[in-house]
Amino acid sequence: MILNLIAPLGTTEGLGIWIAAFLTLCIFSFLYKDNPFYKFAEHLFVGVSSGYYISIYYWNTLKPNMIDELVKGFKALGQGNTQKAFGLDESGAVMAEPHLRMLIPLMLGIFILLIFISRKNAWLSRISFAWYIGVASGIAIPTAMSTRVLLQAQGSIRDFCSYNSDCATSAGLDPQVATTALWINAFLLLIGTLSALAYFFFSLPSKGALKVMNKVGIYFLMISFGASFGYTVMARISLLIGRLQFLFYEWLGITIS
Amino acid sequence: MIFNFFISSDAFFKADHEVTLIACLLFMGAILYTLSKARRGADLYIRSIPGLDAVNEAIGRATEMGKPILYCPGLSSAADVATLASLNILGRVAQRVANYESRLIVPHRDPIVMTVAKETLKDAYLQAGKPEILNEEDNFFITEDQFGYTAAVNGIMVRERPATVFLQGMFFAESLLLAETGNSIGAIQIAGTDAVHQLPFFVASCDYTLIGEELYAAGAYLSKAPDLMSSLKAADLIKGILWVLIVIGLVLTFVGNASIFEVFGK
Repeated sequence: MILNLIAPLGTTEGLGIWIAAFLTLCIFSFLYKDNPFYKFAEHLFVGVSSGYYISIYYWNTLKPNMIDELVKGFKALGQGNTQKAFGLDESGAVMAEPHLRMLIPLMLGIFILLIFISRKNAWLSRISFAWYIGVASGIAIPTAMSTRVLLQAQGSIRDFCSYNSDCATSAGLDPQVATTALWINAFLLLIGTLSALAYFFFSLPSKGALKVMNKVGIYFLMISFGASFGYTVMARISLLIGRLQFLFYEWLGITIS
Repeated sequence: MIFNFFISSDAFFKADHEVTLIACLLFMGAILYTLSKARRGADLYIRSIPGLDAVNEAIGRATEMGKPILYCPGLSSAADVATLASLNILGRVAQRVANYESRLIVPHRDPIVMTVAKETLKDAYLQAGKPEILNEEDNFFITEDQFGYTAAVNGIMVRERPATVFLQGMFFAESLLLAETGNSIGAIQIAGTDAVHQLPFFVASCDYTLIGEELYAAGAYLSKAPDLMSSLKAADLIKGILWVLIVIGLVLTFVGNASIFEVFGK
């Protein structure tokens, strides 16, 4: 163990390390119990992150996408160029820069704020929410159907197709020579998929063959959860090690060799 | 000029995704069919889901102990299906909480979700006939920062000591931090998410866990509303069709036919 110098408080970098170390210890103190140090770090964290995100949203979203566009749009309108003001080029085609078209999202945003400002007009917020949820669903549903349903189903029989040269050729897959281990793997995948799918049938009572399938399905789910748990815990421990390395190496200057 | 705004500049429809379109239409058709059946009064059976059967018990326990109930609607936006399912559950839970006249604390990471939850809570308390006991201050925004939010919710848990904690929606790396803190204060915890990587943590540290699809089913299960029940039934119908198609696809691959395999890829 080599003991170097503790991070110097007199430099800007050293001061930053001391503050980071103090706040790390404040958060770690929660492991003992709730205390004023944790409360201080928690409130500081919430306050700083809120301020940070407000700044990020203003400079990265609100200003370039809304304020600047509206300013440009009103300038063009002032110059009598109505086409440009609404984000259209000379031929009437839609330009990438929306300019005054941004008044529509601005209006939808104001509708949401009406919930807090005017009880009488709060109903207008429903238009904004309907738009938001509608667009989000329109984007999410086909994507989910393709990636979470169809491609998953395809993946469950992919190996079987690869092991049959006719099927592989027809599907454009690389034909594979299946070993016993690969067959077992493919069958486990298939049984796991079908039984886990059966577990999520809510319309039928869990009786007879379905009960057996449900049981097999839940075993497959739990085995996969166990593997995932172990894998993620390993990743979390590496985060803890990173933090301890910071405390020991950078703050206290202790190097273990 | 105004019509130019409605001209689609990029591909409006992807011609190589026709199977996805057919599957979506089939799903819509199934919903409409089951909905019409439900409205005609057909009995729509749903098997028991233990995590949801425990909701009443968990709310009742909090009421008896005189402690609040904490409902965390996840950390994602309102565009996430899990968040929408969570808001649906929030409505049902809030209605029961209003009936018991308990306190419900709902901290948020997303301001839009907070606003939607505000409306959901108002509706729920109104339906319970007790709009006057809704405390809007208990439905609040914390911060958009993932771990700032987590630190604050953990702080709320150890200070307010809720008897029941609902963790419903989309969760990320903070799932175990929240569930462990809830566990340490002895709260009954009912979690639900479709985030596959977070489910193991909930299974390990919560009393009940709604796994994936069970989260979507929760709204229908708790309310028994025909509209929601019909979508659940339709989803089951599609799952049944998919199950059969996988088996047929498997048989066909054995005889060298890749047609079903190819259909799934479109």
